[in-house]
Amino acid sequence: MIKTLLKKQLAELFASMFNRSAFGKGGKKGKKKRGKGAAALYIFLILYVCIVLGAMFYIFAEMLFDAFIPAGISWLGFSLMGIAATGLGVIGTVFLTNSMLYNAKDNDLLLSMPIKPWQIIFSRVFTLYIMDLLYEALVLVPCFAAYIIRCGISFGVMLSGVFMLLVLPLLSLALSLVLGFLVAIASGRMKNKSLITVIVSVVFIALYFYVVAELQNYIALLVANGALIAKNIKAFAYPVYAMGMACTGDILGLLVFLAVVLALFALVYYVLTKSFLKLATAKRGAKKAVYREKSYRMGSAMSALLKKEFLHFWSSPTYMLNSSVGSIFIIIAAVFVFFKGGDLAQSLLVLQGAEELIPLIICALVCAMASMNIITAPSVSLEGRNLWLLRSLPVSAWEVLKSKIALHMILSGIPSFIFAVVCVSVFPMDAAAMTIIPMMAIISNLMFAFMGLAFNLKHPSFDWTNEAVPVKQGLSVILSMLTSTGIIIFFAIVYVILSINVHLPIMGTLYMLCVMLVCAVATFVLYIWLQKRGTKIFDSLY
Amino acid sequence: MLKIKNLTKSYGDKKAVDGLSLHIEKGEIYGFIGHNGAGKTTTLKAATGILGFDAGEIFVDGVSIREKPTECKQKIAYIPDNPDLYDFMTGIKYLNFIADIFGVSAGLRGERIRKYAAMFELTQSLGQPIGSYSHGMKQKLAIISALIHAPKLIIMDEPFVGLDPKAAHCLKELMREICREGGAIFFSTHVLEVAEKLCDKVAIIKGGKLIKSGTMEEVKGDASLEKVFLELEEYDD
Repeated sequence: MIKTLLKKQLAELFASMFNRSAFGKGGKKGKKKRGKGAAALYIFLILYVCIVLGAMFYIFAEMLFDAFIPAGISWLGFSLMGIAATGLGVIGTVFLTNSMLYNAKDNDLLLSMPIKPWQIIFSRVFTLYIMDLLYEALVLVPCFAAYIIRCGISFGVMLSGVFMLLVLPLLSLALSLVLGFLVAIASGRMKNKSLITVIVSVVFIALYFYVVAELQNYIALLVANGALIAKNIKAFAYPVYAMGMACTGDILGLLVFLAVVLALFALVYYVLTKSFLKLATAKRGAKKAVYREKSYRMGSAMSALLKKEFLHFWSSPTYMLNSSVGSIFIIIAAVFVFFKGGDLAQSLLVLQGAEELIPLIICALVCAMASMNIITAPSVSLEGRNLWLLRSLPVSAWEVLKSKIALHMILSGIPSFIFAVVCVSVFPMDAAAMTIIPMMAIISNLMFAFMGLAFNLKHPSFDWTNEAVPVKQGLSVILSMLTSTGIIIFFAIVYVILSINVHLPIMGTLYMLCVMLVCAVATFVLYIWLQKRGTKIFDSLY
Repeated sequence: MLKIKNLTKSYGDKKAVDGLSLHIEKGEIYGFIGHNGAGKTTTLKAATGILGFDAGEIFVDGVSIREKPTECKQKIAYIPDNPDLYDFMTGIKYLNFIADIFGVSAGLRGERIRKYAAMFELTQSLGQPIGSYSHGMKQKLAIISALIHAPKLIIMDEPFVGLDPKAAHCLKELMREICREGGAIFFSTHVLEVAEKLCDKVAIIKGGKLIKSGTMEEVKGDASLEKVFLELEEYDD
């Protein structure tokens, strides 16, 4: 039974990653599955992220070990990296814990079968353990590599490395299960779940960027106060000390840490098995409000479609956070420039060639932040099982596509334009640059909106069971992100090459004008494609 | 009201509908019966403009759905077998959305929402998100939204599935009322007793081909519809 359940869980996990039916061929008739090329691209991207993160953690580990090994407290480096690994594991799996354990769509089905609840829990917890293991390996493997390069390899370190890799995920898993449990209880009582999720997530993102920005300082602080931190950890957080010691090959440390983690995990698992049935079968949702009739107002078909897009957007934290994070940065940047831009301009003007570079940098910044918004890229796929509705209503495909573009322009185009206007009014630049930058904000947003939509029309995916699949893992989303980033990088590289070889007095402004014209032409071509070919594709999607 | 001429639709190599022709007049309730996978849903979806087709022609009130889909859809309402509606909307927002799309005035939509929501006992739940609705509630909402623009032709795929007895009775009464007022209804069902009591005409489809159609008397004679249907199914096998 356990084997069957595990197979189902893992099949589901891989199906969501590779956009395939979890049980063989399945899926709707005539629907395309992700091709080999797309799967290869997907694997390449995962590898790329793993390498980047792995390299980052390797550098951190190097910095810590360079200071702690000579001081004889190398265990502290492991302890700190272990905490980082646990944190990464918890962040990576906490929301998955909630959706996989308590809000799984097949809870009712499985509970109705002759399967014991503990077997269901075990199969899901095991899948979560695999996820935790993968996250933690991103930190632990580079950490051990950095240590071995400095201190050499020994049987003890090898053994402890393997043990830690297998045992530490249990710690983050236990924490994820506790947090997931709390989220499940809280979300059962919440009224504005989407809004609260978005606020919590934005706070998390802000914290993350703050920590990343301050990381160098934190590491310097840790390195400078290593001895004191080591003393305090030994005195007040013995298990953390044991974790660090275990990594260096200390058997006592390993046994203590193993005992602590296993005891904690067993306790959490016990509570989970006792509460699973109650939580999994609990009726969700806040108290039901009774409908009170309000006056009716007639609107146009276009406004109805746009309203529908907005309602969908606001109802889905996943959609909001993954497709419009650029807008959050744009708003923060606009407020920052409005209040602090003057001082920044003064300090920048001291630099040589600043007058020419400032408009270019602002223009690039406006476009780069706009490129982070991919609202249209999953928008067709998100119609999912409701696509029949749009096809049955007396609206043309072009009206439907226009409503998706309008949503992008309202959520991304308007903030970008405001940001551009704030920038051109704060930073010194000529009239041409002052005109081009706000225009560029609109054109780049239109181009990215059209591009995302075109990619999604070419690569739609409707057979998903969780919105996170088209929003996070859709091929159109990945292609949109890569292409828009590629465009920005391409124009930046071309400018660098040109500026080395060509010297003109208004080089920056001329270059911005050329880029704007190229983007305008590309936008126009995409517009025609969407109107002619895109609408035909949309009509044939069902 | 609805004329289907030699409709053919294939999925890959499989012909789901093969040269099917039907004519549904104003004032008629037309039942469409057949076993699972016979091609009923494909025909209904093609008739509503949801699905394209390979050959043949479909006219709604004399207008080709292939040439002027939007004009045709303005006169149609479709109720699917599985009411997948926008879970992120509340019931009332969904009804307003549909009313806006069909250009129903504020006064008329208010009147119709009040009437049909009360009839199907959904008024109290209109403020709830559709995601929290049961299957039956979604089905009721789909029916109300189908009636909001007073369509000339209603196409329904298994409309009674999930409805409680009272709602099913209300729907049957409504179907008769709509036809009395000059509308037409084309619906599929597996409940042959309902088809027998409710329909003016009936069509039986098998393997994508129409095997019998006509008035209820022409199709079943003195026997029951169930008997005729089972005989036809066996005969062709």
